[in-house]
Amino acid sequence: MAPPMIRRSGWSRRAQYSLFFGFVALVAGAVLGLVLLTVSLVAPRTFADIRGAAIDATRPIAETGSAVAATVEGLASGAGDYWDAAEQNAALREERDELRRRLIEAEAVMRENIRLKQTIGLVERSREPIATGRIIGSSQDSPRRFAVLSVGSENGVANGMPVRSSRGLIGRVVDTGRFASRVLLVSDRANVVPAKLLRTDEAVIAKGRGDGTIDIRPLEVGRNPFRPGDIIATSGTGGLYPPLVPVAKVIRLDDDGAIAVPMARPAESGFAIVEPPFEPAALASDPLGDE
Amino acid sequence: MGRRSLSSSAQFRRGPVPGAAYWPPAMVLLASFFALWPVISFRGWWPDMALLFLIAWRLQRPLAFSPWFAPVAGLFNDLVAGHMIGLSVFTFSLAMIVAELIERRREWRDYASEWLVAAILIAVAELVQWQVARLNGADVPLAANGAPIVIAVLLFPLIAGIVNWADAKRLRDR
Repeated sequence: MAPPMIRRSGWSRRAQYSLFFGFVALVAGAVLGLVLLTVSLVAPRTFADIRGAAIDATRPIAETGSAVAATVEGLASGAGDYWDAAEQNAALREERDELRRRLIEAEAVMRENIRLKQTIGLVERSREPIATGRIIGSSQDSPRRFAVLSVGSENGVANGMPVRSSRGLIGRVVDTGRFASRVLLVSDRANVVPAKLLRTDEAVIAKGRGDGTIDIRPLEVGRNPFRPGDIIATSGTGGLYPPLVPVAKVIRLDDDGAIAVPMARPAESGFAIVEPPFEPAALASDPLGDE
Repeated sequence: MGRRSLSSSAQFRRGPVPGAAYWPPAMVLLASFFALWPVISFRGWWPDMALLFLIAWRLQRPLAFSPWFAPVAGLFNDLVAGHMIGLSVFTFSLAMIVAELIERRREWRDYASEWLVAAILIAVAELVQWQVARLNGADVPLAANGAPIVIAVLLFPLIAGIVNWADAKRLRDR
């Protein structure tokens, strides 16, 4: 054993001083941390540039890592698919036939929809996505739920923009670097999404629970309107999220609301689309990007 | 051993490896990058690796770090892991302070008490993080903090083992 394991300053005045000043330095560090923390809490935008730069700097590592993980996962699931190809083939064929029938129905409904909209004079604004990126990381050691996206302000991404995948809503942008950005997931506790129950059109509030599920409450208190399997979609209220993006699927009821799982699981979807805010004014007026 | 070291030049290669003093800080900073591990997780049960390495080194070698290192490593960890700026600056410094206070009152060291101290430091840091998330609008129930704390505490002996091995390696102790 080279240096001493237990520190005893003994009678040496010098050793006592150095221990004392070391302790003072630690306390100063803690106080500095508290000050920085208070600033981040009170004025979340103060460190936006530094945080953006940090996401940019760590992007190559995150991206390489996620590419390796995707390859390994692909090999594993690819081998599994090969294993029961025959059974899968039959199941997929059946599913395809079913989907074809649905598609024809959907097309008919869509045409009817267009006709109805023309009659009442509703104009659909076309919504071009701002950027498409990959999800390359997530917050793993904190109670908050964030994901890192491989597009940033270079691609036109700005704080507050809604992010979705082909399957449903993922969240909204809260930190923007030049080449990467951080997304507050719908399953985060601080993320509240105005939504509606697709089956009855009833207005509900979707709030993350921090553990990968979402808490759904009806706006009007009364009978519990939910059933397991119900789909929750955005309502467009508030102007940030575009309407009718699927958010979650109810899995279980509790006393006056329900627990749901997000439709878009960031781990599976991989790709994410950044969209402009539904009403551009929603971003200008409101400091939605907390943190 | 004696004869072999006499006949070879092994005896001249004893003592710490060059740059041995930088191993602990370097390992803590590198551990921050565990936050970029490519698993998209839903619960955030991964332990804060930088904190675990910091505690493990601090308990292994009380003089492993300069006092100013804790806040610097904290800032680095905040930036890499995307925590609120200042969170790890505070928790890392706090862990060092508590470790210092406990150490002054401790009469002897053994495996179990070392682990207990680490568990206390981990729990304090997790609770600070929970409180900060609460102030920031993410009101996670306290019970949800149990799992991450337990996972981190159970992982600590492994980290302590790695640190112990690295310590022996850098000092050419074995």
